[in-house]
Amino acid sequence: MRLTTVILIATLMQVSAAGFAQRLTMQKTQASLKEVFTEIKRQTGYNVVWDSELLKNSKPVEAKFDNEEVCKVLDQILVKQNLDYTIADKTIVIKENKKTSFLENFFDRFNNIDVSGKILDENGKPLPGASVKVKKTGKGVSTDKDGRFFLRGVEEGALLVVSFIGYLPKEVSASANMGSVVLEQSLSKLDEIQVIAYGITTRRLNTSNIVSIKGEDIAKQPISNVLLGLQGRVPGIYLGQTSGVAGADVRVRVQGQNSLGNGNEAFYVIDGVPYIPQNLYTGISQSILPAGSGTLNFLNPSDIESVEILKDADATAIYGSRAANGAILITTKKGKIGSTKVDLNVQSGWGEIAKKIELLNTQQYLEIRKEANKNANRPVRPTDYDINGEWDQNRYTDWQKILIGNTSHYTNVQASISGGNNQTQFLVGTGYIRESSVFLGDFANDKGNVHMNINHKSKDEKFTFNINSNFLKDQNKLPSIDLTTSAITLAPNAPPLYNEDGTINWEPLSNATNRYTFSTNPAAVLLRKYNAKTDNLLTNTLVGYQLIPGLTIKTSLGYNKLVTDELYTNPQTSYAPSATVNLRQATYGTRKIDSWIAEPQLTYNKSFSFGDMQILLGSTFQSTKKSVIAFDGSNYSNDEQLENSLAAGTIVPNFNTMQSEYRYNAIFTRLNYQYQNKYVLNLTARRDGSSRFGSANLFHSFYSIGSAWIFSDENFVKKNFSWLSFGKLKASYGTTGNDQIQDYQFLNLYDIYNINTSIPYQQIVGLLPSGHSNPYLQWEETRKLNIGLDLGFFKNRILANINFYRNRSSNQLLGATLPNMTGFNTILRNIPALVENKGWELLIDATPVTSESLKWSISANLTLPKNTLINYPGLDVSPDREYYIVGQPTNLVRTFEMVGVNKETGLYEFKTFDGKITSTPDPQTDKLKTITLGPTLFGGISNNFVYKNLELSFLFQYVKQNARNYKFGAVYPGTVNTNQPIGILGRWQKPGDETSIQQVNPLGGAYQNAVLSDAAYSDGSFLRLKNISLSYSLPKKWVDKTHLSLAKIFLHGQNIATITKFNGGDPETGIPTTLPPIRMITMCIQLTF
Amino acid sequence: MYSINFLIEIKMKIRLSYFKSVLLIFLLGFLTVIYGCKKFIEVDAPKTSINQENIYTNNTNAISALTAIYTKMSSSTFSLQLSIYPELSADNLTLYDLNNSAAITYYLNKLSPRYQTDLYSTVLWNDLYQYIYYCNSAIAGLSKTNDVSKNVKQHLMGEAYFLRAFFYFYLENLYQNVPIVLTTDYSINSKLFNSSADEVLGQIESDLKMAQNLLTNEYLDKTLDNSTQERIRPNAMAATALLARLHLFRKNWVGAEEEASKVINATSLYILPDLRSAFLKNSSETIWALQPVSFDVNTKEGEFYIYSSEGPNSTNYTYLSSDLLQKFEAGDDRRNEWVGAFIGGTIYYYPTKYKIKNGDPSSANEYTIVLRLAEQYLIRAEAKIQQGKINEGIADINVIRKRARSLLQQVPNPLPEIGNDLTKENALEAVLNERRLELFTEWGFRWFDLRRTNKIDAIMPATAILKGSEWNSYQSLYPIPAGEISSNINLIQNPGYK
Repeated sequence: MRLTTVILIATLMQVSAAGFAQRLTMQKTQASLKEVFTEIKRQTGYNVVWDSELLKNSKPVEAKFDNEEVCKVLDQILVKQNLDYTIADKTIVIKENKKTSFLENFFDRFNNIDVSGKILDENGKPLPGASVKVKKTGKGVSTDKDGRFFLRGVEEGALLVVSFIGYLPKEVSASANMGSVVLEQSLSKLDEIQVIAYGITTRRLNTSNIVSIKGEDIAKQPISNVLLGLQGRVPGIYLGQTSGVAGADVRVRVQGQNSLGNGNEAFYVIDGVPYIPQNLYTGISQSILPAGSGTLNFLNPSDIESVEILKDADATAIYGSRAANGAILITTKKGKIGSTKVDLNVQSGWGEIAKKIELLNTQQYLEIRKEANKNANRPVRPTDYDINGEWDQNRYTDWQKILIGNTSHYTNVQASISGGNNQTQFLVGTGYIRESSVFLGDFANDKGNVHMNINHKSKDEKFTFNINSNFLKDQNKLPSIDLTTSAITLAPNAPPLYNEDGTINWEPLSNATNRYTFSTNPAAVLLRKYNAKTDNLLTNTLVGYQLIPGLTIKTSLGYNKLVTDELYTNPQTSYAPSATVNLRQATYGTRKIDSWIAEPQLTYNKSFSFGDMQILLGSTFQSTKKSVIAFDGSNYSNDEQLENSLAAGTIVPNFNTMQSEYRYNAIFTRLNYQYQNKYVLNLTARRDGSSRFGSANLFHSFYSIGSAWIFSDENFVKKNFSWLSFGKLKASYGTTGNDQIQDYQFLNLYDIYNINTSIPYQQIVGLLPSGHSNPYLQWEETRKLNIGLDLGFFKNRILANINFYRNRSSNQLLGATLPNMTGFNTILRNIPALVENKGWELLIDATPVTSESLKWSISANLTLPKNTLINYPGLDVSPDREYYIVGQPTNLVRTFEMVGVNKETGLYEFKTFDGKITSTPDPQTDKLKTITLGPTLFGGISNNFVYKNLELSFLFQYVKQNARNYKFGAVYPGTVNTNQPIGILGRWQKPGDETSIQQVNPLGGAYQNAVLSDAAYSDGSFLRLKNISLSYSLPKKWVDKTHLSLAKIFLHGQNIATITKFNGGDPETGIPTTLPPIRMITMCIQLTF
Repeated sequence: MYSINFLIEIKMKIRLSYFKSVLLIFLLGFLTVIYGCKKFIEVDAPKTSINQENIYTNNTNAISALTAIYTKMSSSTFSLQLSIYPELSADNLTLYDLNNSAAITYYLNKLSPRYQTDLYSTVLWNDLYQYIYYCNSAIAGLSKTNDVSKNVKQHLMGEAYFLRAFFYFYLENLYQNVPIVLTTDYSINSKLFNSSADEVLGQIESDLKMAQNLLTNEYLDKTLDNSTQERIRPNAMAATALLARLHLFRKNWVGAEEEASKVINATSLYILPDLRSAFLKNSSETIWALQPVSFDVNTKEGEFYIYSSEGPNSTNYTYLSSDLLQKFEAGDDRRNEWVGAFIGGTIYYYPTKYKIKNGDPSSANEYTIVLRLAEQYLIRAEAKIQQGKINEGIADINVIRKRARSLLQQVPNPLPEIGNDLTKENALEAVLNERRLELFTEWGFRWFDLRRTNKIDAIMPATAILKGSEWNSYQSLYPIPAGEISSNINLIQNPGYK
């Protein structure tokens, strides 16, 4: 029903828009008014009525119009004749000019001149699309493709503000013919546009902690997930790749981990439409994509214009309950004013794993295995194929090279057409990205997409319309599990994967029939395939109409449909021929996210003598439906039929099948006040309702206050600190919420009661409540404080930005203990546990050299985060006491404290709580050490050099953190058919040996305690040359000979080099058994016609 | 031009308020939107799960919700615990396996109210309150729905009220001043105070009267539309029988007599069968029973009390006390029919009211009897004696004795009728003794009888010595579990427990 309201508003606006549709084309000089009127009648079908007395004194007019709106035509021909008109019911009434249009009349009471002019840049080139506004009334137009503007009815001498993105704004006083107004290009990033929630601002005037990353920086990186393009570039946000497998999720934490039990995902908004960053869980993909698949993979990084990261309350409170973990706004490319151009971008390259783990060779491996058996007093068993002679004792295979050492191919082809005049701009683009895998076998992720954008505004600029549409089709073909585990654990003398005829080598046992020694052959795993096909449609429309100058109503409508079809097949051929049972299996899954949003908004801008005021009032209606349908098939008659669910002998619904609906509704408002561009105050409030919460707590309010003081504009600063070109102090405080809990948590669910029941009572299947429902469930709330200082030195050639933040999250949704008399002893409930994230963020942009031939710019950032659990009432009686300690960071592990290896026994030893030393500590009492995981310092430094036609940029990323090492290997050293890291060679061998590695023993010894000790963690800090990009623009004289306007050649590199002491896999994923991020080098050609 | 001037004048007037009107219109618009907010974000429950929102939308699911309570009572050890633990606490059962740490705390009357050591006293409390939650949730769900057919709804409501009363009856008798929980709202329930015994009993009485009104005397099948021979869903008579017991426990002798008479007089439904048939499936004595549901089990009682070939062990860990066995008079067939003996080195006696230890539940011949007619005779007997109608009371006792009288002629004058010349005191003694012999190892009767007749402090010290323990009168009530008190500061522990 609420939707109808929205539609109604939209429809009404379209009706108003129709009024402009009547257009006129005429080419006459010295035409009489009568002639013009007759022509209008002929072309538009409108009646024109006039009193012939009125036209007595009329003069002939210039009537040259090309497809011009009727009202504009009338405006132009009547204005100097002291005539006016009204249009009603397809009838135009010509009358004496008595300013009868009350709207115009009221607001333009004192207007008396028409202003025209031209806006140029320093080189005399016209600036199309620049904005010319009457400062007092806010009335304005933008320039046409020749930089011209025409502004009717302006008070003579009124101040006009002329502005254009990238140029310093200029104020001029109005006169009838303004001639040329020249805008000076702003070299400063301060004047770059920043997208904020429901609007835009500039770095100069914003009061919040926002960082913008431009699409061109993302485009320099050969990546298929936009989030990876942000790594190392943004202070305050940590991004970690969870796996090098294409399509894997990227872990994003904006200013730390706020929630103990629930979502810590940022709030994503693409072109104003909220976007769910993670795909639904089906359990099918989890062994190859451990963290699931991130849906940002289903957005083409090449289509991105900019990404804004909103961190503090001032920026995010307007998103209310959803943005406690920060907001990430993604804006896609839009058409620009100018002649039509065609862009073509072809990129191709190669990738491989950047780092291998050093493992034992065959000789070392056999030595360790045999020694381990001896230590365990264990004879060589018939199944010890690796050492009993069954397998070749001299064979060596580098399994990392075979299994994950392939070259991945990356191809990225993008084409787009864009252009437009100052009324309508468009962009249509299409792209294709293919990234094959480094795994053995033919696996790849293919994406194809189309992107479309149209912007339109009516000539009087009152009506605006904008549509964006993005459709992406993704196919991800992967093996069913990550082969990295096999690659680093398979015995180095294991047999070849394939027989000479190409079939899988199961390595038959000599002297036996139908017995095989290589049942763990990883090539068999390659036959078990995971295939995901995704369609992602993302579309939005913004319709706006200016009711009166300054007052605009607009509505944005968005829709997203994301459907993923998954298939996992497990053919019989993936099992050794000795398996006689039918093991064929397949899982089919379809996950759907279907979401729409409507946001009617009202904005009012007005300048007063006491400052400029901007008011935003809006409302959100959002509905998201999710569903997973998954089922498992078995009993197929042959492997070929696995993809056909109808061929399954048995089909069983998979328990991940679900459906849910989420509805969300809010009203929000923002008041922005600026005085002399020096003092800025921003007040935000939002009232949210979410279906995820209990009936008693459906609504909650959030608010924020933000302010900025541009002190460099104060006279005393200007006088005394002339080197300080910009100085801004800003502060914000406010609340945001987190509603990232599962849907229906408040509902009282019923389970089938069949515990210990073989026949139903009265043949009735019983249903019983499974636990408490909580009608009081409500938002986790984060109170954010941010204080920032922005400084500019040497004409803003150095810009520094320092922020201190302190976010305190309370009302944590956790299981709480209840008395049993309530029926059940736990409930999901809001507990006043308090998590604090505070830290410092530093961002410096500098342009040390800017000359005709060379331009050098640097951007560096640093983040020092600190996370603390301040308070957790009831922690000592809660099961959570295992994981948290008050006063400590929330992401910690409790470990034993390793003392070393006992010289006599050759076993690891640990401290106990009462000061003793033992090889068998008690997990209940002796976990004395705590290790904090997650970064404690991170940042990046990027450099950009432009020398004539050459451009070189590179980005270093650095992270200081602890991570789980690979010192102890995957399992007990000495376990059958399992290779080990090379460090194991330093093991204890005989009494008296002093070493840090215990004796090798297939029974473990104290191994299982060592992996639970502090020694299993070490410094995982790293410095990485994340990206390097070299480009060369072909000289203009060459380009001009063709029809090109631009031709550029690029060389891109990603994850080029890493410096780290870390003894393990990649320090970023932190898990050695997961495929590390890929090192990628690509060549690229960009052509613009 | 004609009236343009006039129009301009009007427009001039409204012009000033134009801006305000625009704002007003939009504010009104927003107000409408807000008004609609709540409706918008209230979503329907998911179809892939059953929950409080959709379970009471049809007869089948609604019946399933109530039926699951019986299923759980039957498949869990609930009914058995209510038989074993209070009997161990009293003087009818002796503990064989002294390593059973749960049983021994009941047996030695050493339930601890201290946190972490109160594992055993929590069992009954937790179970009973969880069942009460189920009842409350059913009452709440049924009262709101219009989608369940009228007669089904009425019957299910009746069952829910009856069951709630049933569970509170045991809570009250085990713990006495228990908090009364009548809703499912944990935020209120987790802060409740203890209620007085009288309040609890009053609540039970009102629930039972509701149940009497809502239920009929028919036993219904799974659709609740047709009657059946299966006496496994409570009917109005079950509520009446429990109400009779409640009146007796509250010393409302008139009420007890009146309600018990209703059951006894319903001879078309209930008559006393012979001893051997009393515990059979759907016997004419059954007022309410539980259908066996567990794999290879008829009744939990049969499975527990009857020994395997090796005699008492850690699974079948009780035997009947010699004190109880001595109370049987010569020629009492209950001693023959309901008591079995295991003859090993020592002779162990065990209850054989239920005779099947294991068996396929789908063809079960024995059901767990919850309410039966014999108790009603004994209720009425005691109520009459208390009112001074001693002979009438004794007549009721004799009905029970007559059935127990051995038909074998080996014993001269087997189990004779009680004469009419008893004092009120002796008559009460006789009825109490008869209750012990008739109702042993059923639903904790002995423990409750000792307490309500104030004989507990006279009898238990000697019993305690036999058990190797010591009696303190506060032990007649079990302690409220410590975890309950630590998570609800309003709860007060039963006196004596520290």
